[in-house]
Amino acid sequence: MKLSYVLFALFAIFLVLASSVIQGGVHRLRIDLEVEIEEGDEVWVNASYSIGSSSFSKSLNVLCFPISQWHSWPIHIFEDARVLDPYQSRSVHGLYDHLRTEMDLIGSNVSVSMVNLDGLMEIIDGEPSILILASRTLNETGYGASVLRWVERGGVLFSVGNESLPFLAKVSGGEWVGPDEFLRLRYHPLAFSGGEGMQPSTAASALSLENVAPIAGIDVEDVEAYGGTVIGYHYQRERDLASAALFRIGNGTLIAFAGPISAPFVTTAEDVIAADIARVVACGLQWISGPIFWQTESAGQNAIAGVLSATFESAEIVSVFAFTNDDFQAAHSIRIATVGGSP
Amino acid sequence: MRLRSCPLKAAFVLSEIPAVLRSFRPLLLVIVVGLLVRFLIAPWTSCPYDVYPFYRSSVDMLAGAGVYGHASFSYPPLFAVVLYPFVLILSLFMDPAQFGSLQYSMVDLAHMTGMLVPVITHPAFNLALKTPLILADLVMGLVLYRFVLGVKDEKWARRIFVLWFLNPLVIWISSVAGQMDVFPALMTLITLIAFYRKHYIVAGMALGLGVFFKLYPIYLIILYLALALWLESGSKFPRLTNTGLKRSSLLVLGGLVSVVVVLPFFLSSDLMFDFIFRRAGYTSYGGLNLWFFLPALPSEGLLPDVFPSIIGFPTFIFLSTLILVFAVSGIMVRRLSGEIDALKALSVGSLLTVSVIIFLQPVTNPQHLIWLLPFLLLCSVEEKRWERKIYLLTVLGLLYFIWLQSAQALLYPAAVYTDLIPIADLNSAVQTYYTSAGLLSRQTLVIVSAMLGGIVGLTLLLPRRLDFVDKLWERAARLLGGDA
Repeated sequence: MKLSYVLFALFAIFLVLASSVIQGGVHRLRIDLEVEIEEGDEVWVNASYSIGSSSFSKSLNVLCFPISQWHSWPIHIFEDARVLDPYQSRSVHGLYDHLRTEMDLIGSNVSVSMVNLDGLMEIIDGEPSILILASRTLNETGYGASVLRWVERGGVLFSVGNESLPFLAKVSGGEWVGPDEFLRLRYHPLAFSGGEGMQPSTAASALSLENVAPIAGIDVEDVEAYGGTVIGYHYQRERDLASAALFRIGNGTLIAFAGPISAPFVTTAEDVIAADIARVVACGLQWISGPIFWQTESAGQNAIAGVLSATFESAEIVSVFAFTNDDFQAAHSIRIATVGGSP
Repeated sequence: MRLRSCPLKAAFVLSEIPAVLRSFRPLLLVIVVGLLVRFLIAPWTSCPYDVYPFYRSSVDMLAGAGVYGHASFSYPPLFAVVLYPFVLILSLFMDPAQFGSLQYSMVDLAHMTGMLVPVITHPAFNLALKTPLILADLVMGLVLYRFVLGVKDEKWARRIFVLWFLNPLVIWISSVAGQMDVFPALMTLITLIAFYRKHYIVAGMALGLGVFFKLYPIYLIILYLALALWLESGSKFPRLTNTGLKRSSLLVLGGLVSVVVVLPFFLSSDLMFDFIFRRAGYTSYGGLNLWFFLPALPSEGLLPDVFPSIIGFPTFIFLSTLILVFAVSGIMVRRLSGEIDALKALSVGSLLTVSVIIFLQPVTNPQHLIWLLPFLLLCSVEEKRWERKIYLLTVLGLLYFIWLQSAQALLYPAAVYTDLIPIADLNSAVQTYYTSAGLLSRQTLVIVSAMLGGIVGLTLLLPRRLDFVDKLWERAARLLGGDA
């Protein structure tokens, strides 16, 4: 036995031990969340939360809002190499990977899968679920209309960038072209400019949305014209632009992210879009039916505990979501409580 | 004296450490200079694109989310495992939330270049990340030194150590770029040495560990299995023998032992392979290889439509690589029957196998040249032309690295965490470089350095009589009146 082999064996033993510690031995922070609901002329919600101390400094966001329905629908992401160019294909694969881990970290049991063109057609012909279109799809009016019908029946559609929204009217020669029922939303190029003129919406602050620097913005005037709500960030440029907006369409929801998946990570790419979609889906923002009450608490490395109180004029189901908003520690807790029923 | 128990043997062996350390005394000055240079530049530099996955997996590991917690780390897991104690120690003195900071002022530039992540890591984190790399640089040098000392002489051993440890590309990759290629390269070197010394279990284990750092050593399994099966068969035409079967079984056994190391990852996540192979399945091309010209096409290095194929172009490349690696293994086995000794078969065989990978893989970055260096160094002991390849690849690798992003892009930690350079000046310099036009534009410089690197890579695969680059070198040396 030579010294070199002893050292090599010690190195291998170290690797085994460290692998075991990393994968199973490091304590993950947990948020304790309890919800009490009182019903009278109004609905009062008290959410008690606490989180332990940790080596990371941290802040905790807690939010509460009423929702019209709640389902653990599967999430489908469209990807088909026959339709997408290689860059889009890679980005969508990345979105899929990131979304699975984000849902996993949240502790959600919602399944995430990729579907090709045939699968996409089956989905829009079938029952409502959650569909993510993050790339160019078919440029056919019939297809756009089918997706719109599916949303109206209750489907939840996330579109990432204008090219991915099938029922968006096109502009030709300065005029809108396409069926009247198609949305006339204007997407404008957006320079981040160091975050100048950027303001978070209530949802963006409450959910600490991470897609802060899309390369395009949706015209807020158009969002409001359709009765939509900005859920991302506002950018004061020549026009007021938004990074993401939510539209109720029939029984369903469209959540439109303004920018396509683009570099860089951390502000614009598939990692942050996945993180944002995961938070939205996990807390049921797609079915929001009232105002968001929220608060944030920072406590360095110390423990945090507190109560969020909210009052709603009416609510049948209430979503309460607490999470560490730095996302390093990825601690989350969600309660979906039925008013007058068991949580 | 025969020591019966394993602990006693181990204790006896460990008592050799002072003597071994004394044997490195002739290298002391080189070691001090090499370490000093590395530790001086390591904290203040980083590659803002490549460092992000290491940063992200570090904070994820510390937070209990695991190596693949946010799907940012797309390598096999072992480097993260090596990194863990270093960031754990750092976390005792520094809040992990401060390991990096998001720089809004870089975002527009990051949009434009597509090659920056606007998170700049703290100098203390850079040091924690690069310390294991620097130590691995040193261990690689010492292993090379001891091995060459045994098979050649002191003069050559020192020369090889200096060529490795003071090699600017090696210093750059570990201490500036913070890339971990030295670890799989070290494992492949240990494989070669253990195989040469007939310790086949250790060889198999080192090769397995190499694969769990980065995937490329997987191709070397073909070479080593072929050599294990047919080494010293004593016949003009290789044939299977019981000894060959025993050797290869031990090699495979060692490989299986290495799987134990990553068992916790296999047991806890089914997503690991998706993340690792997602990157392998990416279809961008370019760098110091056969595909150097593809980034200049309108498709910008992505799989262009000019290569329609039933099996898909990535699969075609994979199969071509596999066929060439089998061919290299076959040639080495045949050569073993007469012309060359086992060490040459192992060194040249490993060099050719890794050269095939480097030349044909979709993307070859400068850090991948580190895979070649240990074998080039061993081969250079016998043949001068390999040493010239080291010089050429070092220069071209460095130029490519600098020209790809500009040298300024590597100085963000110094700009963000000190008052030495305003970050706006760096942004402006990087933007000017990316938008440059003409003969000295970024695109021209990158393509030229990649092309030259690809050509040198090609000549690694050619026999000496066809090595036109080496012939040019010799002619130039004669013209300059020097020794080629």
